[in-house]
Amino acid sequence: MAGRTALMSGRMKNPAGVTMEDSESVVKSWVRIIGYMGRYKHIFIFAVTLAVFESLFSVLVPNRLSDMTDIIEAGLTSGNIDLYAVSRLGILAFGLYLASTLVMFFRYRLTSSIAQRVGGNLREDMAGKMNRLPLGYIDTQGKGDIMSRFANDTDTVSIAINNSMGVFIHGIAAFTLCIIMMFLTDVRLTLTVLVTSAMGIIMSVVVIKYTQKYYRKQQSNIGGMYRLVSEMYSSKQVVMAYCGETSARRKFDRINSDLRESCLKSEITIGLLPAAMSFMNSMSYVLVCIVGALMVLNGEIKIGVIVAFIVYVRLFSGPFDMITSSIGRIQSAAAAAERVFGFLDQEEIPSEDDDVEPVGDVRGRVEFRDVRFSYKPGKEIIHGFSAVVEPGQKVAIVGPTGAGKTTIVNLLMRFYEMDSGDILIDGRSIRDMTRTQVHDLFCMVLQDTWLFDGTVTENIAYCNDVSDEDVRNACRAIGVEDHILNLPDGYDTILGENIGLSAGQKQQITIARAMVDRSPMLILDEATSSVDTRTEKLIQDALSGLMVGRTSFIIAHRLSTIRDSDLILVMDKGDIVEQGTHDDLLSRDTFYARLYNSQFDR
Amino acid sequence: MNGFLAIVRHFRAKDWVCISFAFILTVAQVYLDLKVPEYMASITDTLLENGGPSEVMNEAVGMVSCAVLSLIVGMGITLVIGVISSSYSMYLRRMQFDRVQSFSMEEMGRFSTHSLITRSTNDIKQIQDFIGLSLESMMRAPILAIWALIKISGSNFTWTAVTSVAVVLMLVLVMSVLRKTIPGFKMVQKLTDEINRASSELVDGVRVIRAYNAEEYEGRRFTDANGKLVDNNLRVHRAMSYNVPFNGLIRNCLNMSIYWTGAFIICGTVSYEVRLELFSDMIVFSTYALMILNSFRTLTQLFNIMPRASVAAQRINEVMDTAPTVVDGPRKHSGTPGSLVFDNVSFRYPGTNNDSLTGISFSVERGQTLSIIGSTGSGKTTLANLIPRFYDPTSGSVMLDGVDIREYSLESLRRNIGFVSQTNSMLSGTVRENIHYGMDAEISDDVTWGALSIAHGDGFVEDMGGLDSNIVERGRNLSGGQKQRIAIARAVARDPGVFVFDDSFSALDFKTDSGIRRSLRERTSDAIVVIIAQRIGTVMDSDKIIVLDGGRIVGMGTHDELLEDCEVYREIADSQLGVDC
Repeated sequence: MAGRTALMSGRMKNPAGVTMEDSESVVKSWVRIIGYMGRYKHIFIFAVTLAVFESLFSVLVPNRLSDMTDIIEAGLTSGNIDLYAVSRLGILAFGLYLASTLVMFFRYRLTSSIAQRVGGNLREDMAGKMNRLPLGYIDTQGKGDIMSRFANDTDTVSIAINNSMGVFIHGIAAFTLCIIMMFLTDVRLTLTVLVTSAMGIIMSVVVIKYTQKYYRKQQSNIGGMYRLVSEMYSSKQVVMAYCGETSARRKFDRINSDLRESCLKSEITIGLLPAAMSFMNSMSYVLVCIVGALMVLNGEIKIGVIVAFIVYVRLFSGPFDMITSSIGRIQSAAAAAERVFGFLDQEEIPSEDDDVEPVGDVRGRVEFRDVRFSYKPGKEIIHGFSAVVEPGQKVAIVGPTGAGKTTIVNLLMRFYEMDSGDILIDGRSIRDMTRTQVHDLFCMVLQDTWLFDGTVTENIAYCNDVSDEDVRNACRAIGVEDHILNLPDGYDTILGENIGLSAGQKQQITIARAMVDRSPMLILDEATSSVDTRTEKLIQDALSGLMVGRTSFIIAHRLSTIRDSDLILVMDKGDIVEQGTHDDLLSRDTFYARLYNSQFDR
Repeated sequence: MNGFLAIVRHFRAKDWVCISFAFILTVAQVYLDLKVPEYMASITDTLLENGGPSEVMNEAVGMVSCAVLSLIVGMGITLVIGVISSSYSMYLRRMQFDRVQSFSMEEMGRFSTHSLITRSTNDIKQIQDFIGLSLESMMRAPILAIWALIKISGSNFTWTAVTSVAVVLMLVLVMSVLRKTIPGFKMVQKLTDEINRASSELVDGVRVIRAYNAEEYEGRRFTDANGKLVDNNLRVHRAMSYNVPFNGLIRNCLNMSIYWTGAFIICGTVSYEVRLELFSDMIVFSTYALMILNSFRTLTQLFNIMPRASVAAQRINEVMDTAPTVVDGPRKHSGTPGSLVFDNVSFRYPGTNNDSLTGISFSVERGQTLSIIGSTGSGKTTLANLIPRFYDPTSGSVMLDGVDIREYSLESLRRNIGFVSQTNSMLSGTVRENIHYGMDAEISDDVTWGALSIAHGDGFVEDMGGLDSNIVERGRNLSGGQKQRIAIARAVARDPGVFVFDDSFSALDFKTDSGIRRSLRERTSDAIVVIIAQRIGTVMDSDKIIVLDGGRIVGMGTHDELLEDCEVYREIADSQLGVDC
């Protein structure tokens, strides 16, 4: 059983080390994020339209202000200002402001709802992906890292969409319109403004190119932090028992200072760009004033044009400022999206044709035909395992630890695919069934007890439609009901971490889960190892009622568990070394007998 | 305000120094930024008074120098703030990690692992983002607003009044939006705990989920947690969508109103000079007024980030304010322990109504083996957990060498105990790292292999590829028996004075079980050994066997004595050995 879980890293793509040109990767990630918004295409297009209108309004308004200034200036020397015209312009401008505010309001609503939904969908898709990933990937990836992708990376993406997408669209539209309007107002002043903004754009591109690696580093360091913290907190007992605090702290300090460094670097770039941009804006302002002043002095333009331009520069600097200050978010979202999509792009277990013949009533004849398997290529674990189990038989698989017992179960359940050979159920290869069909044939109790954050009843009924009465009956039969009734809320107690269930009681609950499942065959993998032998007897009695006519596979070390099996398969080093009944094998005085007798060794 | 205090509660002196420095720089920058419109005003004046290009240039040079200086100062501020936010969050992370490390199992259960993970990662990130992105504007906006107000106040009553109305309107807007969003922001961190829980369940339960075809069921459970988060966020952002657009409306209207009223004021003025002055005042005033409102707008954005950050800070402070229940004692235990005594020990898990252990008394001497047997839920593991002080007894005391173990420092106590737990105790890393785990001195490979061979683990470790072979998180690439053998080797390698084996042989076949016990016996001849087991075969040769039932001792003695006079023990023996015994 060594390497029961494949260390498949060789076959995996490395999600963190995607090698791409940095600025290109930002664009690529965002193209994917936008593609992801596809299901909100209509909302998205509507939001974009609104953003364009919004900018249209905001560009039209300064012109009114400039007109107003001109009217005031015209009356400045005479002291006779056309107040009627001023008021008319004021009302018009107010109308435009109001309209643009409403448009902007709806645009905000739309983009933020897209942002939250995209975040939710990414998480949903990742949860779905979990079902299709090979076990090897999940085992090696580390829980904390996966959790960080679920919680942190998706959050970063949706915050960026929320804060930046609208601003970005608006910014670009406003930018374009501004330029058009400025050209219409005065060509030379426009060119003056453009000089500085071109410099700004070039700077932004350069910054993105050289800083994306810090953002990527930051997201992966956050993942590393999650991973470390989640492992240390869930292994708290070991850490305490072995005074591992110092070594945990050492590892922690390393990641912590890496994280600090990448945060500092990315934060400084987030901060510097807007500072530089606001300098650029001041420069535009100064240039407009100087060039404008010269032109006014030459009598080429009126002072109103300068006022309009000053408003344009500010208008233009508004979205420009917002774009640059959101560049940091856009970059970290790109880095986060890489990790999310890296997860979603992982190679999946081969998909199956759903269109297979349904499995009818199963008698339960199971045949292993020369099954060979290796977790890692070249390191064969199971070397030609063959056995026939007749319907209704109770089969015990015994052998020293590491003999490959659980691996056989993993293959039977199609958690892993055999390298060669075949397993047939009632003469039909499990390869010709879907995994779902195979899983449906068995109820299974695994070595690792797994209970989730739900009530006792929910944990036992699980995904099956089972009445509360059945749940109770099962619990009563295996002798765990008294313990359950002692819990604060009985069967409705939520099984969190701080519920004091012993390892044995947890095993009992998972056995109850299998009992109410009512599949035609049963697999127990060390299901009662933490249960005391008297309770185990109770469980066996309960199960034997259940197992009448059902083929069952039992992996156990306890003799009391296996003694009355119809067939005992004795495994060693991935092979069956002996098979037969208990008395049969004992009389042969070979491997099994030695294993059996060792329990009396003093 | 409380929220803000929660965020900065752990600021160190150097953080305050940095903040003060950033504050001074901000004041300088505000001064420079406010200077720019003044140059602008004089440029306008110059233009109107038909000044020459050289006069315009003079003013322009001043303006450009202000802008350049402002850029340099701004970069300085960014740098200082970046240093504060990254080093403060690093410090918070470390302090919190240290605090959680000092927790006993009781505090761990109180918070739940998922929540502690969020608190150590995501919550701190909220604070870091707050400081990094908002602290600067939080200082800058009020300074700028007040300074600009001072500059323009008194210059014109009407305009000042218009500006005040705009400020009041904006405050009303911000406050009413905040009232709607704060409860939602408070929920976000809690709902993030739920996402962490849900995703960690998907990882841990992957085999069960697949075996039961429960993918859809789990999908629904996940969607439930996810949906709550999405709904909450949608609600918050819906309320927030009033903020920016209406802020903009107020700002634009203010700008326009100044010009509009300006027209009337100028029109009603007789003197040309005054009219001219008013005109340039108007342009300057509108610039300042916009600056004021802009700083209010930035403050609004701040109000959006702060609730989440302050909730995060409160959650972190909750952890920091929780004192560990199991604390160091003043004494250092040294030498080989001679005796372990339980004196009338009772234990009750927090939040439960029944004692899990009642009146447990026994003693075990150096060189002796004590075994504990009993039915599921009888309190065996609870008893074992009291020895390395995962919990402290509710009453009574556990004594090592005649001294209550609460008197010893945790490290000196635990270094003397080789505890092999019932639950999976593998960490990600190599075999060597797992065996050496927590040891302060390097040990040689020979010693490591020696420990492995006592645990009968040398064979499979060799097959795996030696001490440097990799073990994945939770030891998922090992079988149950392999994990137990590495855990046993880990205890043996430390050569402790007390061994505690909590059902650590359950996944081993009989042959390996008895083999390990035989080789352990030589190794532990000078130690105190406590074995918890289910199998009679494992306990029968102990010096003393305790039979636990319902948290009480119902039998104590040797195998033969107990067979004689302990009903429960006899039943256990019968169920296992049956006719063979």
